[in-house]
Amino acid sequence: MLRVENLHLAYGRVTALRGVSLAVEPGAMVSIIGPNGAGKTSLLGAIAGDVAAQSGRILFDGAELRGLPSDAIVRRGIALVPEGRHIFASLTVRENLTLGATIRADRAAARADIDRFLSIFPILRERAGQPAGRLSGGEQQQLAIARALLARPRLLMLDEPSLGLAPKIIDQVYDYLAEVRREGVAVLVVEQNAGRALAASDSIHVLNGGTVRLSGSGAEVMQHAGFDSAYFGVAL
Amino acid sequence: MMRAARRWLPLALLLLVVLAVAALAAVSPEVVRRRMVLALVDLVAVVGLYVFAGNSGVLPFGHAGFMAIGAYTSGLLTIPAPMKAMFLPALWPWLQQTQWPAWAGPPAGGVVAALAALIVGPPLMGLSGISASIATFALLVIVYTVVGNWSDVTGGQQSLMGLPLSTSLAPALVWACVALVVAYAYQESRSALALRASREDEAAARATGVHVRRERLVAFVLSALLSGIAGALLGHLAGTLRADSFYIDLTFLIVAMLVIGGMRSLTGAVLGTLSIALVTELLRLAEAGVPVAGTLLRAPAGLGDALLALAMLLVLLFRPSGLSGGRELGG
Repeated sequence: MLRVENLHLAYGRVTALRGVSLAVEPGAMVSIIGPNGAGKTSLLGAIAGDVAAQSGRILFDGAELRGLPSDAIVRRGIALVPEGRHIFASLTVRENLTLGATIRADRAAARADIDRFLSIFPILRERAGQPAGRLSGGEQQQLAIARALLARPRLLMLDEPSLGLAPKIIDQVYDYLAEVRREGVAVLVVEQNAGRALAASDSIHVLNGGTVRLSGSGAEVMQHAGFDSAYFGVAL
Repeated sequence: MMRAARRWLPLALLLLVVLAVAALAAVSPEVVRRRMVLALVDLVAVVGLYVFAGNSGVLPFGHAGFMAIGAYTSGLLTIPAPMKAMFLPALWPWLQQTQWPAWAGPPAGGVVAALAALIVGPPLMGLSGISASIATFALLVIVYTVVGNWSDVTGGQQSLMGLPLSTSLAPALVWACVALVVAYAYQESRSALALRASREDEAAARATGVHVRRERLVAFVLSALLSGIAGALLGHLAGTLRADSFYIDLTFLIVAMLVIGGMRSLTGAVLGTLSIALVTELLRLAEAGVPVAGTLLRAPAGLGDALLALAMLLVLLFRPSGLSGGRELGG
């Protein structure tokens, strides 16, 4: 479904990605792990159209995404939950959800979906009329995921979904991502919280210095002799 | 049913406020009534500014230019043909012979201003923050320069006289109500919600599929439409047009009214306009002189502008969300 091939991205003289390649199949969960500055957010940003890669290919169902603006990429079926959630703080919870359905023409079905998400996340229903900025970090994460899913994406990308959340809330987030997968949505997650990502994913890519150092299933990656070296850049 | 009623309650309350102002104007002496009519015309202009600034978060400084376009369009279409032949002898003959009824001037002025916004808007709408504000100011300078030097069509630096004095209380009230309804209906639309999302976080708005440039253009054109109508109403209130009337002073006034009232709600636009209009009128009276114990006490000339600037400064420093606090009346 998604194929990234030999992607290179630089901010001026600073290189963020050096020939990254990976694939995500329908309904699969793929995680990108790596330390700070590894290029994880840049990779998601390039796929989502937020930043422009200098070379390489990003194919979604065989069509090239490079060069498309982010709103056009959402329309192709890819939604991003950015790091820090980026909810619209002064707008109400319901307005945030409505915005998630911006690209949809089926207004009645979109309204029904909003009600469905309010049932799935009861705290959002309780606070539907309140400014989203008043939600806690975990509640904002729920809102950000629900908002992204309202676009009915076929690929959901999440940047550091566990950042700043309590372990119990992280479990809830990953439990919900498992449900999303059961509905056929592929998930591409970027995490520093390697343990959680390793347990939940079909395949893992360890990114460091803008390069994929190691790939495989969670077990394969963990047991690989070069894991520490790939993740931390040095052998421990 | 209840939810729909609650949704439109702020608009109903604002319309009641405007109706109350008009009722007060109707029973006031002629001089006071004229000032209140001017306040209603200012309200159309400030609401026009709000439609773009309030929803996009970009404060434009070029809307007096759209008011000028509306005013001169309306003037050229409604000034009696013999007067145009006298004041604008080099005007195109077809336009010189045109004489529309006075009521048609404001909508025509609004449409031409909206078309101008549609033409200049696309490149400007890609800009954000201070770049966008400065770009709209550049637009104002261009309009001012063209109006002030296109002698064959606008009269250049001379006053363009002969506009029918059609902006009385009734049309000012009707247009103020129309502006409020249009602005509120727009702010309740999905398009305005998308634009407000981009105001909060442009990157996140794009990530939800919002076409930021297109949504800004929709608001910009609607905003120019109302500004053009306000400019035409202003022209038909004064009866004469000068390029200077649609430049820095007017820009400062409408921006101050919106900022002081609170640029993130329609209530702020109404509150700012009416409170500044009231204070300005009181200061005008003070500058003219108030008899106290047989002596005429006069406030120093220019006090009004200085206090307006001070009020805007204080609001920006201590209450950035303005008098309304960014909330809607009854909301």
